[in-house]
Amino acid sequence: MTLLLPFMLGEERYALKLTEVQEVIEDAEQHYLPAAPEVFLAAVNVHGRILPVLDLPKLLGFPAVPRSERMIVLVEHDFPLVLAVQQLEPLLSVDLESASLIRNDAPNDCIDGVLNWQGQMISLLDLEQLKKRIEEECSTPGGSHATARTDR
Amino acid sequence: MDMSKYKAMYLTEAREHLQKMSALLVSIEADPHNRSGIDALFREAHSIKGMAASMGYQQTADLGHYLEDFLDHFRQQGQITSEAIDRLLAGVDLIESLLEDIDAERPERSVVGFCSGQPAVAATEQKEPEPNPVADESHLQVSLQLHESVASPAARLLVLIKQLATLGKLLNCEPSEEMILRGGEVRRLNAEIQTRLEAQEVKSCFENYSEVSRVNVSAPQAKPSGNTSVGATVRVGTELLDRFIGLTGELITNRYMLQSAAGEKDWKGLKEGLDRLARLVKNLHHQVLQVRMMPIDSVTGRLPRLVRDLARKTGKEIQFNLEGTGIELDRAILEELTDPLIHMIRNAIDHGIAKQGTITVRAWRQRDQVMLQVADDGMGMDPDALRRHAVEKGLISSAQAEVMRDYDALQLICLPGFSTASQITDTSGRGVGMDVVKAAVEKLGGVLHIDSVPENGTRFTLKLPLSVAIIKVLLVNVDHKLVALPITRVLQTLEIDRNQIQTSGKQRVFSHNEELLPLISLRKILGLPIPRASEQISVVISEILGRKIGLVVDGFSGQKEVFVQSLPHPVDLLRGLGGGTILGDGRIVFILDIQGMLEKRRRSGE
Amino acid sequence: MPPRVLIVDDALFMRNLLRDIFLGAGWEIAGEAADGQEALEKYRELQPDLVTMDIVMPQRSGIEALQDIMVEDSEAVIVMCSALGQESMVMEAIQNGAKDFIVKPFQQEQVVEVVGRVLA
Repeated sequence: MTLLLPFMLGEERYALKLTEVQEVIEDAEQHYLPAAPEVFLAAVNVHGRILPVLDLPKLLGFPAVPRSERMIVLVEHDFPLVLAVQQLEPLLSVDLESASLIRNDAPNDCIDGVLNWQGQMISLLDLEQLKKRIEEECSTPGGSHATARTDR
Repeated sequence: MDMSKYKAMYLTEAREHLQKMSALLVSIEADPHNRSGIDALFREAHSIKGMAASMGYQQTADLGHYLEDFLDHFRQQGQITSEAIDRLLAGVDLIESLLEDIDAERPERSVVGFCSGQPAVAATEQKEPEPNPVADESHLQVSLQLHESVASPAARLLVLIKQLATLGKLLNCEPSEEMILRGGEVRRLNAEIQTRLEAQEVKSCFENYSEVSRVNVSAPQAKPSGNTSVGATVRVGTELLDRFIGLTGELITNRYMLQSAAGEKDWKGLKEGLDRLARLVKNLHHQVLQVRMMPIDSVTGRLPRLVRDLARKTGKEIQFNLEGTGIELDRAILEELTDPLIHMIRNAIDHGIAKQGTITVRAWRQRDQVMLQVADDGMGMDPDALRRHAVEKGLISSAQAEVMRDYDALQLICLPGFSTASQITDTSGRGVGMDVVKAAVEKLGGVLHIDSVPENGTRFTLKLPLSVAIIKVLLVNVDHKLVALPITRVLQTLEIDRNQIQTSGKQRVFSHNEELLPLISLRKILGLPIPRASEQISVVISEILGRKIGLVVDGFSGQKEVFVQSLPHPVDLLRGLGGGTILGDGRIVFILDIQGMLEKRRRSGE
Repeated sequence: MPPRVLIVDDALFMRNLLRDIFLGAGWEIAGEAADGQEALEKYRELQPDLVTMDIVMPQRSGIEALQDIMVEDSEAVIVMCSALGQESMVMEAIQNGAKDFIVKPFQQEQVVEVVGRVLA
């Protein structure tokens, strides 16, 4: 069984594996992060480490949704980053082996695959792709602003 | 031969020997038949004697000689008595006092009393010399430094000035009372007083101020050779020095290469030369950081003695272990760690261990970080008790307490205000000052972890960066936000009148020292809203690609020394950011690289 | 004889806390006052060795009470109790003769150290 941390973006449900999550922080004070692309909202102090906050809704094409005060801190040595999302949901325990998982081949939408869990569609976030996207954002002068979402 | 330039080195080395002696004495006390320990002790005393004699510090040399003789006796017997250990520790204290005398340019105090066999306590009596009634008034230079964590530092300095004024006539004072009354972040005081008191007596007046982190009292007359202030010294291995010399040679070669390439307009050669220069500078930077590395030993060395004294005072039986003392850390980090370490050990003795137990301080490397741990096998902490206590103090709600994991409950002891007087006796009162420890660790870019098992002990684990970059920055305001500029990039700050601004083509310029400088708005660079210019405009003069510019900001918020944290990947790819720092009040401020930002703007065609 | 302390603070909680700290350190409580006016009256009546004085209080503030007491007894030993952010008021108090100050939230060690120091 795999534990998933699901969260909402617009009408869609996304999830991270709990092993990819260091912790969830609440009401963290947000500080100005200058000279950064628009997909970064702020910087926060997580146990003395300065981490940037990625505006996941904006990056994935949901610019208008509200942002929750609870944010996800990714496991530090892989990818030290804080994710702002619309709304966190209770943990799910899912058997990924037997669940019907549709692998995703589209290269650029940061989705590893879509899981059909009791009739709900849950998109699993692909951190490797996400990292590449952010690297592009950070190395392009001015940042290439989030592209509009393409429907799958 | 002028020996004064060796003084600083002598003091540093002698203190290291003393620290070793203390540590050895404490371990021999636990194992009186430790023959090799006694031998080592003898060698330390011998080294001190030799060094002091060659510097001409007669009293220190005599005492070293005496201790050597004293030890020789036990060396032959192969064991030592606990009375003898007390006496030797007193001797170590006395040498420490002698070093202070030398440091403060005073004549050494006499050791005759101690050596003529007055029982043990001679040293502590020596420490506070009798006031000399016939002494003439003399001038003394007093410098006081407050701890970073002191609340209301300006008010504290004011109290200290009043205190100084009671000791004698206050001749001058920097900052002055008037400056302090204006408020602000001052933590250092330099004053000169005319007084009948000895330097040591003045010093002792400030030793019961825990807010004061450092007191220095010395006679103001400087030696003709100039610098009498004893700065910190570092010893550098000859191998490292050779590498510096090698690098310098390569840099010189590189310079000729660049000069000739520039002369011949050989762009390819220039490019190669610059690449090489970049590598050399990076290498040099790395080597220089090496010089700053010191073994952890330099702060843990004094701990065995501390534990022994505290154990005696509290009547507890404590076994103390040190592991991994050869691990190296940046000097700046080590200096900041001294107080937190002492704090955690005090806590372990006062609250962790009931009657007898073991405290272990261990250090180890973990990838590019250093872990430092203070562990005890005492009573441990009960997460439920901590939760209840935090709710009672109104620090968290009972709903929060219910869902809080045990691990997080333990970290509650780091909340300011978690522990106060009335709770010191129970185990939850462990948090005395742990907020200060946490703040100190985080300031260095480190992390503090606490874990504990009731009845089984508590571990404080510090995760620290290997080295820190400390730079001085100018804090500037822009659109109600705070950003920092490295002071090395700031030539000058000034306020200009709006009507001093002229336009030249599309560019706004202003005249400064008969030079026309372009004005660039920091708000514009950062993509922030630009309001109508006010009458007075704050400008930072900086140099970018060899050209002076005026950077328009909203205002200045002073200068500060900060620990720079490098930014995590991939944010480190962003041009224009030179790292971030966490200020004392928890605010995150980023350090701007103006040149990088302007280049980025140019390339993106804005 | 242990030193006798007069505690001036409008909050009962703070008075109790300080009382516990002082009693714990072996000092004696001469009395308590809940505002600046009462502070002066109690000072005259009890002649304590030391006063701890809160800064913000109803009726007469701690600084006014300090001035009142200093006029009557220029040797009075008064320690101000302040909170973070009251630094300028603390400085005013020091200029008016307060011997030292402690900053809330109090820690026992801090209080004992400061009070012990001014009585030395």
